[in-house]
Amino acid sequence: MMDQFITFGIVGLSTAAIYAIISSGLVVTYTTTGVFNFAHGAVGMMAAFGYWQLYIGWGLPMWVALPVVVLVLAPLFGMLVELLMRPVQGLGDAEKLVMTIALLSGLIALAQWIWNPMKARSLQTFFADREPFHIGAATISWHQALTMSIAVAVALALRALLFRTRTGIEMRATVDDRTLVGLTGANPVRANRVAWITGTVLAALGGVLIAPMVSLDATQLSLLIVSAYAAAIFGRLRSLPMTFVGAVVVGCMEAYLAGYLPQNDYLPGLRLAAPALLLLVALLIFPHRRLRGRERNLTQVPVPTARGTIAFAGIIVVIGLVLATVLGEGHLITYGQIFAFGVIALSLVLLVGYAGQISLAQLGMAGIGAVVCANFGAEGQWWAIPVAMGVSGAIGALVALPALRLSGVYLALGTAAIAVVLDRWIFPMAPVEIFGREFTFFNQGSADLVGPRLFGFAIDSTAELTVFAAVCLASVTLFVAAVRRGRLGRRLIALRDSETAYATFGGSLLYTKALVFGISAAIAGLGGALYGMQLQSVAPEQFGFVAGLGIFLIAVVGGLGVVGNGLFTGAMIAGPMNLLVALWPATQNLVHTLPAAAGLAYGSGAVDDGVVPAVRQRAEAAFRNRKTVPEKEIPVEWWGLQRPWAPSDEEELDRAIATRG
Amino acid sequence: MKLPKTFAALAVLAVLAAGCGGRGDSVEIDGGTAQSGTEATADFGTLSEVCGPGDASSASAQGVTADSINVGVFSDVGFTKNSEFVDTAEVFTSWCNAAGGINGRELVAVTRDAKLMEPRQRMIEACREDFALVGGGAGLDALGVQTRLECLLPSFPAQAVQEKSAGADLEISASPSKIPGYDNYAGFRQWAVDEAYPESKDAVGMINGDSAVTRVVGQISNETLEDLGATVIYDELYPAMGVADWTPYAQAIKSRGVRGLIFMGSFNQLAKLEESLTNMDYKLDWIDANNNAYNAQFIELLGRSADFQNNLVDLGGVAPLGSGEPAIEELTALYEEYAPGAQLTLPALRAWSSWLLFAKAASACGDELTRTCLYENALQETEWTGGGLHVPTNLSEPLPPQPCFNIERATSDGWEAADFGADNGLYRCDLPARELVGDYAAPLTLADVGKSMNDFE
Repeated sequence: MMDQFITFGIVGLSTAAIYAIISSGLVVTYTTTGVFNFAHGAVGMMAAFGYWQLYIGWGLPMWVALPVVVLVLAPLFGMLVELLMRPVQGLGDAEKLVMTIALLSGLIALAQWIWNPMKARSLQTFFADREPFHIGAATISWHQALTMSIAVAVALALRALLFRTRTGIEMRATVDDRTLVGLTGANPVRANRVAWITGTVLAALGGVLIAPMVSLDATQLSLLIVSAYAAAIFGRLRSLPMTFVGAVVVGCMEAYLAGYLPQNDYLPGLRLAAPALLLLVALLIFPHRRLRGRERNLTQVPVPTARGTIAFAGIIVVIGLVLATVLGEGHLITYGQIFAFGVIALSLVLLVGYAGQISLAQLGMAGIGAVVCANFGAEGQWWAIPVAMGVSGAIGALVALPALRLSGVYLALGTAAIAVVLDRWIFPMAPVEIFGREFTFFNQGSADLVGPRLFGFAIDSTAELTVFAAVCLASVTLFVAAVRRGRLGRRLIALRDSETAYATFGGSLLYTKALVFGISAAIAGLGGALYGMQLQSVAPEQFGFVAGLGIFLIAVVGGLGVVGNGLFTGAMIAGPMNLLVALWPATQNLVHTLPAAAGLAYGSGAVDDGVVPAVRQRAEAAFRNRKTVPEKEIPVEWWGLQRPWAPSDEEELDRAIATRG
Repeated sequence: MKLPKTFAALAVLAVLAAGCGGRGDSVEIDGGTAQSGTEATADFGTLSEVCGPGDASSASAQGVTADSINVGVFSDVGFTKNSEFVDTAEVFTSWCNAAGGINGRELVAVTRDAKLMEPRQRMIEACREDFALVGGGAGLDALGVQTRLECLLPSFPAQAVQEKSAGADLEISASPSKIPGYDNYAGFRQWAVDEAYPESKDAVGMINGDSAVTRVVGQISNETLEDLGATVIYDELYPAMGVADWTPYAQAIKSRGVRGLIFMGSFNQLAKLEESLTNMDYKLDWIDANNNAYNAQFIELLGRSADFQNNLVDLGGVAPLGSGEPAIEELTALYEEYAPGAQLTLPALRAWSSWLLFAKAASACGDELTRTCLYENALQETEWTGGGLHVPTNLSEPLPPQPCFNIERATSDGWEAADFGADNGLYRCDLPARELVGDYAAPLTLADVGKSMNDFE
């Protein structure tokens, strides 16, 4: 018995070594740059594919291929990433997240484009020809031993870099106060570059080491690292020793669960979700220092006018009617999803745009909405929709409880963990009895939904459902605009701007957060139910964590502060990509990289507050005053010289000086 | 155990998959116009004149004109990049049209690419344009079956995956990969635990990929094993996204002393699990790799585990690729001629059989080609072998299914027949498929969507 325990422990240690290398890379980039790199795994994936190409594909000897990938290509890529990330350095967490998520999806699309996934590729483990050795009953292959020793070497090297070198001290100082570092003559950009290069090299190293253990598959390699996230959180994203402890805990937990977890209908899913649960627990248990890098410029959240919003809602309904009459059923299902996705995106406007609470679990909430609606509305009961909204709202409010302790990237990770738990454990669960009623999840692989009957009229054809969804999107748009115009909206924005100040003024953080999480989850639930009704039958994969990342990406690009974003996001998801492929099938691979390109363009500052506000500004300028040429801006020092001095100028200068302090 | 090949990737990449669909998913495969009066005859195996010239002149049904027949081919190629059904359609239509088409009508295959998430949209398009569905399949096919029955579209699938779809009405499987209410791997299981490896009977393990589809398959295997008196001592799931390190699983298999393993998941993952097992020097009596692994890639990925471990797959009565069967040789030659480079797979063989069945039934209708005629002609086949590609199936009475199975073993030199006691040529037919008693979702019927056979035209 004891023997077995030790064996699984040793097995766990070998897994832990992989996590340690990956998560230490995450930590190094995060501590220096303040960016949590969701694309870390994808970078490792690219390195693994690159190594395969050089070593197997082109037949170069290993001692050439390996250094080229890890010591030449990876650092170059790290410098490129640093360039990409520089513009978002001063922006909010959502923007930083978008950059890395865009990078993630872009790299996956690129890898699948270059390396056809249908071809079997495999990398041999290192020292594959040497007989493994034994410690007790456990077998350790030389590859595993190599991984463990590299993990230890990485730990020592990082420690030396951060504490023994000038660059390392600069890197650590950069985290605390970038401006101050600049003032002392050091170069924060250089520190960032070193951090990205180190992080990328570690990712590449991890990728090359892990690829022989798993299959060489772009998506799998990129997304395996949830467990490594948990390890990094153990180190609070800062402490390398604690990160290593975290890696050991996660690795051993996985091994022991494999060895000891009893088997029944409900628990296997729990084991799969265990790393995500551990991540959540770690987030909640370890105290987090207040997030640093607060030097972000908070964007203004425009107040929509009542008339404008009503007109906009009208337009949405008209678009719905036009689509329903013009398109055939097949296309209507594809393009009609504009409205369902729009509703889900609006839940993000409320939550992320107004209240500043990042959530990556909104699509999971939509999935809950769809499941509940499928259970209660099987015969088209209209009240299934409010019930679905209620249940997802209540679950959303529960999510707010951990959110109380978390903010910024921690909150993003926490909600990501919740999304993964829903994915792996809850959605595929066997049916359960609730109050004597059988409640099924996606047990048979799909949940069936039918349109509701309202006032004796059954909304069941695709055209009717599209119009219904459009009306729902219009109402939600009106609702969100009303929130922004009302007291709740002001409170939410106060919460976003500063939680401390909000609490000081007597606002209840718990109540407000629970409220906004609840409302937005209810909206997402509505979106999920609508989505399901349009498709008639939905599979859990359609509400997965990764699908949610895509919606988040496009919603942020659209601009989270504005209510028009709902229609924009929906249209982007259901529209252009389908259309492009439809018109030019050959562009399919290229089209897959588009969301990533949009995200990168957004992050790099090409689109300021998002697409929708930019479009609005231009449209407003165009409509308001067609004839006047905008006045040429004259720099302040030329006032009174290049143009006459106006009495208001002095007041303006005074004010500017006063605000500068 | 016939899984969507895709499922390892099911949960992922929807970032990209979420928004792709539309008109471009219907790509027409034009195998060249039908040439009436050419010398080529479309004989295949034991079947003669599957296709040929004729004087069809009427547009007798949807998708049928005087010159052409539009048929839909379902596939997930946009998601999985696996083009096996598209390739088969290409080869068949080229070959058939070169011989004159179907009574002079050119056969046009339209790929309906469900891209995993969009079976219903593609089904609606198929409902509008196609005469029938032939030689395809989609991972989440249950999402489209209701629409198909509502528009009374007959289907000759190469593979059916989900419970609601396999064996639904208006579906004829030329070589069924899944039979509602039966476990068609029962013979294989019985042979493995009772005859070949009796020591493994009390030490069976199971690893399923975590997806709704495989969970049901897992329940079915559990039921069969229990019925055989075998004991499942290890029953585990792995995440569809993949596993970072298979060593804990391998260690658990070793320390529990599992001797026979049923693996339902992607073969890439299985190869890595076996690498861990082989590293531990732990050899199982048998590993059921499931027949998705029946290809050359799997052997390549296995490396030294190919000879160390004992990987078995049940082809369920389809002739093995290297068996030298005349029909297989013929098909291989056709592939080389019309789609060089395309890989012949087990689902592709089944697709080919479906195409043959469709073409034969449609040819027999002559000018008056209607769905009813097609369907009824196909049902006439009581001993359908796809020209010799597989054991005879009685299409007029699909239940109970044919009892034969045949087992292949992976070796480093490729696949070869295992010693499973064949009693009927390549196959063994003395262990009947087992009827299931558990409650698994039933296939959809016309009555479920408010239709009946009287509506069928």
